[in-house]
Amino acid sequence: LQFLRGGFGAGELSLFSHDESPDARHLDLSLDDTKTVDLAAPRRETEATTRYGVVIVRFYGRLADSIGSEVELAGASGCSVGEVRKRLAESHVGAAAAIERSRALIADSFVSDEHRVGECDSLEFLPPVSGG
Amino acid sequence: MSVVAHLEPQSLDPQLELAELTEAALGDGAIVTFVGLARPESKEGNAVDAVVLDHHPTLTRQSLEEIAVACAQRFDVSHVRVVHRCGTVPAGEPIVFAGASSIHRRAAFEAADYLMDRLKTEAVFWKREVGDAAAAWVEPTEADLADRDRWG
Repeated sequence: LQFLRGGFGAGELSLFSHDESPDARHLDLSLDDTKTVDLAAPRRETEATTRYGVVIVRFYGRLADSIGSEVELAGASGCSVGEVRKRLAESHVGAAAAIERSRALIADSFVSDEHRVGECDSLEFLPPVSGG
Repeated sequence: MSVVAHLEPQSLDPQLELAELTEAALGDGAIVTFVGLARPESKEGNAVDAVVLDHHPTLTRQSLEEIAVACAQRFDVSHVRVVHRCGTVPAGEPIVFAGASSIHRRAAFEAADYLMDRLKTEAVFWKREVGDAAAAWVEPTEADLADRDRWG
């Protein structure tokens, strides 16, 4: 894994899917160090861990369906939420519209796209809710 | 006054919830409840085997609590009880219980109506219908949003 505090560029972002979904088998990540792990693992209820600049990003609803419930982003700490959103949309073209419509959450608080993702942050993307 | 908001991952028994509300409502003159069931058919007419409710580990519960507390503050009710399923709910099974008790019936009717209008649009769930057709994510309809907006 690469640790690039302050940002990531092409080839520096790694995604690791934690969920089984039809689209998860067709991720166009175009990155050499991408691997798929533990697709059946449930979403973790505790704070995400960050190791060597890896930030865990969680998804819900239709995003979890198409991307997986969690991915790990190497080199994402220090990036803005907007930068992470953009890279995710580029890596998951089929989910790009849903990613754009989603709100970002860190530590149970909604954050703007200008917010910088810290090393210990857990970042979550929430699509518009369905209601009950 | 009591406000109960519960997220239920296993099963929802409306009779049991009504019994709990009735027991709390001693001294009141009215109880109004609503039970929502997982529909066996989608809006498009496709058979639905189950509704899957994805939820957030903290925000979902908070949204139920916020709606129930707002209801208790807004109407002249004694008790509010909201129980909502999460996870997989087979078609025909209860998905939500919303009830309120009050001294006079009008407040309880309005409270239950308010609870459901807000739950249908603002409760933090992501709902997917699973059946013969491809799984489809469900979002609030224009009518749902209009119903919620009645309350200002």
